[in-house]
Amino acid sequence: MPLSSTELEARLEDVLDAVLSSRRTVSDAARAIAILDDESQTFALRWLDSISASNTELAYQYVNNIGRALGVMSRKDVEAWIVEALDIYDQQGLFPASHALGEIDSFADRRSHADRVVELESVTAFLETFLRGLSGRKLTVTAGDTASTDSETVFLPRRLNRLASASENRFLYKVMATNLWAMNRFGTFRRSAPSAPTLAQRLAEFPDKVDATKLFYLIETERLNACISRELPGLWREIERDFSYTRRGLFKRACEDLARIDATVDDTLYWLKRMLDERAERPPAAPYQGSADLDTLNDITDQRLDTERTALEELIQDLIDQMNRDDVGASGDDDADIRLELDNDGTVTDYQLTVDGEPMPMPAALREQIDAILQDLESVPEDWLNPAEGDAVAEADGNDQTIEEQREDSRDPMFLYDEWDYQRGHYRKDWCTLYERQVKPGDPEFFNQTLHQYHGLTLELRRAFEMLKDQQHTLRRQPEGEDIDLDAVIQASADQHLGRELSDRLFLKTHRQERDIAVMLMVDLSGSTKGWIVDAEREAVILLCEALEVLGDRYGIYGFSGMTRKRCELFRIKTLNEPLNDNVKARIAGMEPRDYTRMGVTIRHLTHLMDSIDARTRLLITLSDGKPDDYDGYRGDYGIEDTRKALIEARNRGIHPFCITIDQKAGEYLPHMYGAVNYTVVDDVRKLPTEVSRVYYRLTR
Amino acid sequence: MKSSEPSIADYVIADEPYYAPQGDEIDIFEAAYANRIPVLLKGPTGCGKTRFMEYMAYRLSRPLITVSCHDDLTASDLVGRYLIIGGETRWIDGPLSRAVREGAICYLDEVVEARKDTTVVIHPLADDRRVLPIEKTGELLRADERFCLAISYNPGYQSILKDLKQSTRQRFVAIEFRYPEASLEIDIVIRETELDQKTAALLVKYAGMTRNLKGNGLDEGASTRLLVHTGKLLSSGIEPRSAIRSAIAEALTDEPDMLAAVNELGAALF
Ligand SMILES: Nc1ncnc2c1ncn2[C@@H]1O[C@H](COP(=O)(O)OP(=O)(O)O)[C@@H](O)[C@H]1O
Ligand SMILES: [Mg+2]
Repeated sequence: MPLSSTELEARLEDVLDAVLSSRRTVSDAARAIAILDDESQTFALRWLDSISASNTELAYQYVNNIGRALGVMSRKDVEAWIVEALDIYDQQGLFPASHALGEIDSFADRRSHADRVVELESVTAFLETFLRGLSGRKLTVTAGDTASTDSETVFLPRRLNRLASASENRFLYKVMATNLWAMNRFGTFRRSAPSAPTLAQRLAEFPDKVDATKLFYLIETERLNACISRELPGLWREIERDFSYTRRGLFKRACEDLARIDATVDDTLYWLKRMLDERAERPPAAPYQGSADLDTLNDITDQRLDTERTALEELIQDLIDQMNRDDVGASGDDDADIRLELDNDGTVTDYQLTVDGEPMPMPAALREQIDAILQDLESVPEDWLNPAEGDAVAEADGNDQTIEEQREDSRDPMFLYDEWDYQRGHYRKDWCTLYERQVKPGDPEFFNQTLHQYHGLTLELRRAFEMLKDQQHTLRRQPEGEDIDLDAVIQASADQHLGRELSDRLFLKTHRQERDIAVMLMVDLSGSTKGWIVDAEREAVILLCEALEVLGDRYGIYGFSGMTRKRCELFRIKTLNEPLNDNVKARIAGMEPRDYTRMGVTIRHLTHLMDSIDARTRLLITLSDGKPDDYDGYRGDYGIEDTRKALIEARNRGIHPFCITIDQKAGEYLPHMYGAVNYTVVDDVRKLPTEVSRVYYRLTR
Repeated sequence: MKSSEPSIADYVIADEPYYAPQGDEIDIFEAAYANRIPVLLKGPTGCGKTRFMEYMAYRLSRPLITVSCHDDLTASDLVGRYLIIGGETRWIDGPLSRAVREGAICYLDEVVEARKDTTVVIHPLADDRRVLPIEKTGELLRADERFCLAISYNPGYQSILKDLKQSTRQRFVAIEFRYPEASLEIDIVIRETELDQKTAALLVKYAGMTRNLKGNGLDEGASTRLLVHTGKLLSSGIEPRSAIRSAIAEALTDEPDMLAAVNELGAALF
């Protein structure tokens, strides 16, 4: 027998007493529950008890909604509705949770489509890889309110259930992402020159700016569709199949014109004006149509153009320096005349490099830099191609240490090292003073927490490393073993025929390959790692320790930083012979960003430490976030050349240097320092922790 | 056991192999050959190194003996061993001794895969001594003047344990190979597979997409060899998306998200 509304009211009042008043009663709620069947009532009251255990007010909101919820959803779905609200309560608090309880209809709607919902999270990795494959540039995929882009990030709805099946919704994600990629790739935001008006400014000229912007994306999507149909015919076939619609009137004419191979965003703006002027009929927006956050986009673009301009000027200056050097004695006194000429051949804009009037193949780095600029601008501004003379490296001897720092200096072990001056072509004797410092220990629990956080991955890495460790190898011609070596037996009997001495090495033996590897990890603790980077470095070190413990490879860990040649600092986290104990774990947690990055002296000292280690393979791995850089002029070519020299010294002592960096521009200087294959660029700080172990795996497999 | 040695004539390449030069590699090889300097071919797998060797052997009218190196390859596998044949012991030359004696070209493919102690036997051949000491017979084999040693090596394979030692590499003239640039690669695909220009261009564009992913989840993008394989499947009437899946995607990765992305990049084109 179901309970009556009076019985129910008494029950509810009992539980909710604390939040009720004369104007806040449970009589309506009791009536709504009274009409439910026995089982549903039991269900509702059982959950009332659990919810009130969390929060009485939330339980009150629940009571007011549960009657209706059970009316429109199955008990299983109602349970999901309650669990979601409790999760929200735990994570975001009472107000959002109460709100969620009120949204019965939209929840019911979502539930009834559960089998067709696709969560963005589940396709993010796929989409990012897909977009990078399309043109080699990284676009980050993140959740946003609508499909839009700011030229570095692609924002997509958190979940999609618009279409009838999960596979169609997943496809919709792909088409939305491709469309946003196309905006960046096919010049929706491209300007003719840095000073030319931006898209936002051009749209602001229309009397009804909001309406014009809306129509702009509708028309621009058609131009991009035409680009996609040429560039990605397979995908376009599927888009046409799933999302085709008829275009009529002036809009149809616009579409036909925008399908020209040389149509640009200027043409879209032309048709925008005409359609507004003639009040043309508009079709509904395509489901995959995107837009842009133009304010953020402009800021990002301006910043990017700034860095790209600098990078371009540096590359050109490098080229000039190199030509002048190669030219010495040949043609005489004047500088090489280097020109990048615009080679505008119909639809393709390209550049031709000439030196003293002779065409030259363009260095790859320069080619890439120009391509990058051409994503944002129609052509490279003339004055960017003629950089002014760079200023000479200023040298300042930093003598601004505090008393306390000087005192600190005097206690720690101190070493002197030479430094390479590439301009003079010789070493500066005892130029750098290096101190080996202690690290202030951090939270010793951090180590295990991190392992816990990466639990799944740690298992995966562990398994991979176990296999690496167990690599087996069959040794031939052994005096004993588990199998007969047929080759050896034949050889022996041949020897016997010839009357030679008989070998007793006739067996095959499986042998665990001895890994005799010592590795030194050199972690960048310069000021620029503050925040995410140093966090990622700590985690990377922890995961790598875990892997190295499995392998049994010997390893040392040192952080480095410093301020001027008089105070280069190396932070001892673990020496090569120290076991991984709680002190080491606490020191890893205690790694903090410091000052600058003087790499040469660090490499020299670590080389010195590894010199005494007897291992078949010795490896020096640097974790870094940028170029060598110190306060007293240790930057640019000077820093790079000294670091390179230090690495050559290490290599000459049989040490293999390798660098893992998160600097996306590392391709411009690391090959010169480490060699073309001895470095890896990690494209996202978040991947650093796991990437470091993966790289180590690759390096020593 | 029957051990009939193939005659050296079997190693002669009778018909001119198709080889599209990437740069001045033919001239460099010929100059090195004329000066009896051994040659090191550097480059990723499937970019035409083996084909180049076949072409050079044809061009220089020399037999070509190729050895694919692996980690169980011993020095005797290269130099030779005694065998008992019909109650008689006989010395049988290995491929290297054979080439040295007969003045052939010996090509050691993927030489870093061989064990380090194996690589050492080529040292005396690779400097101006040009000799091969055969320990077992006590013979010191002097290389025929037409003999040529070439080795290949993939530097993109970032393992320090499998790096080529300086003492080895510094004996060679090095020629670098990379994937051919797009228009040349299209020509190669057309020549090798009889595909039409449009399909070949799409395949090469697809290769570019996978190469964009190198270092971001893929160790290596699709090689020219994989394109040729795909093209052949297409010419035999296999549907493009299946051809790409089997000949390229599955060959590049096992990781599900990566596999999906690589497949769907192909589907975006075909
Ligand atoms: N330059 C080239 N000229 C002709 N064919 C080429 C060329 N480069 C690659 N190929 C094609 O690619 C295939 C693989 O090349 P291969 O020489 O086996 O590569 P590698 O030895 O570098 O691994 C060849 O069989 C051929 O079809
Ligand atoms: Mg090969």
